[in-house]
Amino acid sequence: MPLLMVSPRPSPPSRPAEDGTVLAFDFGSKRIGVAIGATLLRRASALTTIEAETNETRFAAIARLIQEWQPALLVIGLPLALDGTEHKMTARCRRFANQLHGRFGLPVVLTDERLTSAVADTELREAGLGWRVRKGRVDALHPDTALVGIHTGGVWVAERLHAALGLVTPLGSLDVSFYRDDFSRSGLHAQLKTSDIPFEVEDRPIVIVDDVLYTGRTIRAAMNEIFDYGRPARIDLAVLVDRGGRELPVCPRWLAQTLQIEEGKNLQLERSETGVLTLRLADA
Amino acid sequence: MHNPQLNKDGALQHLLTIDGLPREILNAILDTAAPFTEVAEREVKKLPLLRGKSIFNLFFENSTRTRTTFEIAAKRLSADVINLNIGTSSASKGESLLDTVDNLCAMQADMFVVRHAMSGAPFLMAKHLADTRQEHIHVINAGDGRHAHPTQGLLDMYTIRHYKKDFTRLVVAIVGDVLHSRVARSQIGALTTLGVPEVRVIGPKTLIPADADRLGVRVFHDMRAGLKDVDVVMMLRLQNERMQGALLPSPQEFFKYYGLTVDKLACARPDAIVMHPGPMNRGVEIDSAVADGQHAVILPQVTFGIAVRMAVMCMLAGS
Repeated sequence: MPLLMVSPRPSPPSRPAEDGTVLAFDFGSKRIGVAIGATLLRRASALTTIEAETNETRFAAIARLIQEWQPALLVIGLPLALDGTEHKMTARCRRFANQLHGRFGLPVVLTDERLTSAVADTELREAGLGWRVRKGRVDALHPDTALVGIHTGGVWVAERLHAALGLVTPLGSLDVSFYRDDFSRSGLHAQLKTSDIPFEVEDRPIVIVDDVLYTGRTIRAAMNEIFDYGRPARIDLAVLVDRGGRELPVCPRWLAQTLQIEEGKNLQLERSETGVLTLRLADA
Repeated sequence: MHNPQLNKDGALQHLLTIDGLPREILNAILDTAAPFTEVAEREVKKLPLLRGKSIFNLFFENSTRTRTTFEIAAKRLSADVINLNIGTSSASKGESLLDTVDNLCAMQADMFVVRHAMSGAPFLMAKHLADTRQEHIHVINAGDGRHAHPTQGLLDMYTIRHYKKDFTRLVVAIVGDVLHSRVARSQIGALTTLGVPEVRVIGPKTLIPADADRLGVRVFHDMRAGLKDVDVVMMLRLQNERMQGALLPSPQEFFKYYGLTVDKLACARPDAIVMHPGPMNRGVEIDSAVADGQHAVILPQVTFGIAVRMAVMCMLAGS
């Protein structure tokens, strides 16, 4: 799934409740809903559904999710009768919780599901309006669509999206340093990357992908650069986070999160050696 | 000692010579050049970085190729390029170099690319710009007398790095007219700064400076011995126009002893690359079979030269 998790910094295991990623399970005998959350955003969103044929395939799928998201804490919604008494599913769910704890050695918390179902409903509706790449949405993209990630964070996001969407056009990447509007003030940045557009731009729909949208100047530079490769059919913008503070009329078509971040702070996507993406907030 | 090429922040202000430039700056230039190589493959071979800048090509000495590659580099960066062929203009009317510079500064020049037969002319210009408090104007040395030709040295380093990746295990031989060659001086400076463990110069005694070993190179007068197991062969042009007196019996004799042939090249490593700064004198310093052969990287040198010059111009203009 192309959904990305964010947490303020790599989480020390000793402080799971304050820091890091949380995976939440909605246990059912046929399928298990999985949601993901983190403390920086203070919200969770639906991640995937595991269709469980057998115990083994079920736990193999969960193992993959844990490997990918490196959660610090697992949360399981405990089904209770409306009056709060336990029933047959409650006992099976407790057994599932014990198995999770035993297999993965992560802290497991059981929580009263009744209190969160209303919230979850809202979350799902919001997610539907937001940037959730579902089968239906994939079909809505033109088959020739090309993704272009902006170095460096945007390329990481674009790589995940490219795989999730199953696009055939190879992934492009841009280092917009040569098109920045502050060259005469600050010169070239160190560590230039080479732009790579491995497809014909002429008449092709293009989606620019970036991690954090701020002033919009990077997107302006990226659009200028793309036009030097040819005339695209259209350009759309997908970003992980919109932090506000626009200085140009730029608006994303797809957006995962809006965050209010004060001026002077730097919000940056980082990638660990295992490929886990983390948003870090630091003083600029 | 104050390096007139660096500003007070240690960034490159002018590019006058490779001597005295730290390895970090050489690597920064090579790293910056890499993404510029890709621009040539685009529909629009142009970047907006130097839009609105005026670059004056001041060539007091003839050179078609170097001037052309500087011109292409500047134009791909969207700069306005003005070519002055000084041989046919004011200098022949008696104007001094610095008067020419002052006049062009009054035309809002942003950068000078200068080639001059006198060693040190670009230094004089850089000093004059500092003395007249015009530090925002940059100078690139495109070859001064026998002294230096830094962008050629840098594009040679870019080429070597492209094919051989690591400088610290290479044996490099520079062959031919080292005495008159500003290219050789820049190459030696760059190779030693970048950590090449063994640099050799090969040529007749009359064309090797007497104190060449002080540059940190091994001197060979026998070409086969000098080429043994080298990774990179850097040929030099025989500079007939700079020779005074009887340094060579004849071009034919030079070719016999120091011309690079397939036979002599067989002494080098099987994967050796052959470079030449151009223009080549076929049948004098290099045989056509080598110049057009599979070891030659002479045309890629020209292509890389544009990217390296773009990188240098951007680093100066952005400093």
